[in-house]
Amino acid sequence: MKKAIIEVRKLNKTYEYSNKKEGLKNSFRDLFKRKKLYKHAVKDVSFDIQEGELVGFLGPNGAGKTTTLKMLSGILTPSSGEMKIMGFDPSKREEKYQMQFAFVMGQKSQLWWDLPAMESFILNKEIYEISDKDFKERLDEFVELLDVKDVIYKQVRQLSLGERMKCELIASLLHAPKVLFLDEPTIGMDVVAQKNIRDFIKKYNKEKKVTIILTSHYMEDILQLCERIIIINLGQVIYDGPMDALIRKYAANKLISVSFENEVKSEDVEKFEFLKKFEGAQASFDVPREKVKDVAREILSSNLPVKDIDISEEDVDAIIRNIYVEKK
Amino acid sequence: MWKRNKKYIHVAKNSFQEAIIYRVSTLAFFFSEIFSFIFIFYLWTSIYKQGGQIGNYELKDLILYYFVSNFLWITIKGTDIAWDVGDEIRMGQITNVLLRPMRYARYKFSQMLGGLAYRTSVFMVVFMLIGIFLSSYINFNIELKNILFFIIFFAIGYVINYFIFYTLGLTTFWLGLVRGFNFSLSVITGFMDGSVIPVDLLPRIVRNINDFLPFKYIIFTPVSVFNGKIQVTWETLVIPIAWIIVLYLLAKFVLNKGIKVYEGYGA
Amino acid sequence: MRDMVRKIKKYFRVFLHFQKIGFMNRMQYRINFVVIIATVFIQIAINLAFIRVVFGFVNNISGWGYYQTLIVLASYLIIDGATWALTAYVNGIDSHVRMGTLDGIILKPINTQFIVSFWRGDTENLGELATGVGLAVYSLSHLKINTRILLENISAYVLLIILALVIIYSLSILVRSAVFWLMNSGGLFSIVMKITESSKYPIDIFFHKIVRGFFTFIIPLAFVATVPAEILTKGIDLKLIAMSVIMATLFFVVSRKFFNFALRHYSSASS
Repeated sequence: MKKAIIEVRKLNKTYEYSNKKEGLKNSFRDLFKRKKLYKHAVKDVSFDIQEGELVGFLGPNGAGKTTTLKMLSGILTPSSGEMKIMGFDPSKREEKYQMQFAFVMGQKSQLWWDLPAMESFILNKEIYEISDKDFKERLDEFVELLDVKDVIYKQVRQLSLGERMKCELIASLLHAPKVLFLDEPTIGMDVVAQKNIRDFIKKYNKEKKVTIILTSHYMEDILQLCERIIIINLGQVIYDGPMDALIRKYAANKLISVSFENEVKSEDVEKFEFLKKFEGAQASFDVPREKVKDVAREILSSNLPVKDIDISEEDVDAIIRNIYVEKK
Repeated sequence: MWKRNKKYIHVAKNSFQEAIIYRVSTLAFFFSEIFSFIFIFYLWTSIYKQGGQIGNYELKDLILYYFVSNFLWITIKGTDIAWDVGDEIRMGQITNVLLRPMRYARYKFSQMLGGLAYRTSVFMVVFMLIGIFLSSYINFNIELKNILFFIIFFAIGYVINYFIFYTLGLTTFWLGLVRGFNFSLSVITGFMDGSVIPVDLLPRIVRNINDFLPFKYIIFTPVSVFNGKIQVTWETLVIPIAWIIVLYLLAKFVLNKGIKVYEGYGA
Repeated sequence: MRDMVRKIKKYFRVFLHFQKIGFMNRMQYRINFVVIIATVFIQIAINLAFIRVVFGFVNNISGWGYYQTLIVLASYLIIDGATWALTAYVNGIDSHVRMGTLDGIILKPINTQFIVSFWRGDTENLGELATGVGLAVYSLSHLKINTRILLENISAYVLLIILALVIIYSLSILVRSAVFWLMNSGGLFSIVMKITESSKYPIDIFFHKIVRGFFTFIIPLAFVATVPAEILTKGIDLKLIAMSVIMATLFFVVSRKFFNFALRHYSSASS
């Protein structure tokens, strides 16, 4: 069996933190003594990833996805456990390892804020020791692929979220890393921008055979991109397997959200199957995938005053609940 | 009217509380000022080793001068008001300012007052302890009435300093960033207010210019009232109070102008 | 060997890039740029005014005459100006920890301390450096020093200035590293600034031996401006030069160890 490019065994991370309390009296007390609390952010996480895989980490906020990625990139040191990426131990922060991976964080920019993205590219060129030839070739390729010819010369703070993420991606890929970590790359973006980014990631993974770990709390991201999905909740891996199996077993339903022009009567809404929640001018339905089109058509062709209808994946909490239910 | 202003007491109280939480930076600020004083003490003592006196100050008078001046520096100038106001405007707490300008003005004043109360109460104790420790080096011949007058001029000095830097912070509406002017004004007032060297030791030309400016009332005047070098009469109060009125009106004007400028750009 | 040359070239190029970026960043707010330059000059003028006023009443401060005292001030200006222009007193540590962008730097194949040290450089302060040099030249011209001896002194002086820069840099690293625990080191830093500013007067003003000893060996202000000025005006003193070398090396090594220690703490605690 081929050796995995990423091997993780029983990874653990525990934090210490202190509790700050409200009020003048407590502020005085805090001056002298603070209570110590522990948070077990990552618990015995293990997995293997082969070269060229595009794996999705799904989980609610605070589940431990970002913490895991930070350990894999050497930013945080684990409390216990082993990691091997391309043969390296990330915690050692060896330059050879750092030259071969990249980490893009959706919420934290790695670009100079007040200057054009181009300047940040040049800085990375120097730091990653990229040759002039490689730099020019790769930059031209990315600029064309992502259609950002003028964008890279504008100040980063003037860019839209989508444009900025494209620049972040370019900055991180100029040194042709073998492993790429993406932490919530499409957070806060509109639908079009999200699609652009996803298409690029998919294409890049296929063409360059780059190993990618993508984290998100949007089911959409992972559904579109990943064939394999790892679900993390409360620091533990609760599912690790192919995407379609997950869909079939635990995400059999989709969510239809409807908002009405004005308040409607509950009987009018209740006559549709699968009603989940109803509140005056809004209703949501939990519908099995096969029946989504039919139900949506029924609602739209009824005489209810529909203002807006949205079809989305169930949120990750529902999927996780389903997994726990089955495990019992 | 009392009810309306009750919430501002809350604001002051919160600010006091925050100051306690940021105890490290307060402590650090304190040590840097104490260090400043120690340094000045050694510097002037070395200078006086030649003998004689400088201007109409003997060594012990001068040490007292710097002792009180340091206390005032810590309490009155303890926060970067211009940066604080500028930050709020830049970071978008603007909506409060735009909707209720007077409310913001009062909110800011009470918030800063909370900080002042904290610093004054803490450092009054600290300085009294240091004063006892260093009493052989300092001329502590102070009349009680001077202390009472000092309190009045302390308040005047604080208000003048507050309005100057508050107004400067408001210019963020035009300038976007006041870092340069803040630095500039701090350096200039830091010299003109008498904290580097007593104003009456400066060459005549400088003194004459300074008399037309409000700066000396921030540090020099309260210190001189404390040590008795300035006799307090009704006349001595007229000019500083006139300055307060002028600065208050200026602040109000700048605030309104600033709001119009901001709205002109379309929020 | 070839590896080392390659590395030095890389770090130098990155340093130049930061200087360029620093200049570009600060030029963006043109008014501020100009105002800060002007204010730096006003500050220098105020310092000079103070010395003038004092020397209007006396003719020496702890044995240092007018021009000698000016040279101490000049040395301080050179060091302060150079430090602001090169590392802005290692402000990079503060801003990265506060903004949470330190992670993006730790994972890059380049020394983290180097990056945060040179991240910011305030070009406006080059004027301060130039003024310091000008003031030193002016003061030297008023002191009758033999030309040959003067040239020797100047070479020693340049070495001592470099050592002083190392000391100030190390001190900044030591204090700024506290931000890894405190998350708000602004206050601590003002202490360092205040202390550094005090180096602009000869440390002989501290007539109590213990205090003078403190500012020579514990917080080595003496080696920042007083010692270089003394060498420049009174001649080469091998003992002082040797002590400067030892202090600079000691502080640099200790500060580097502390920074790495602080970084490790950050790596095990941040969330």
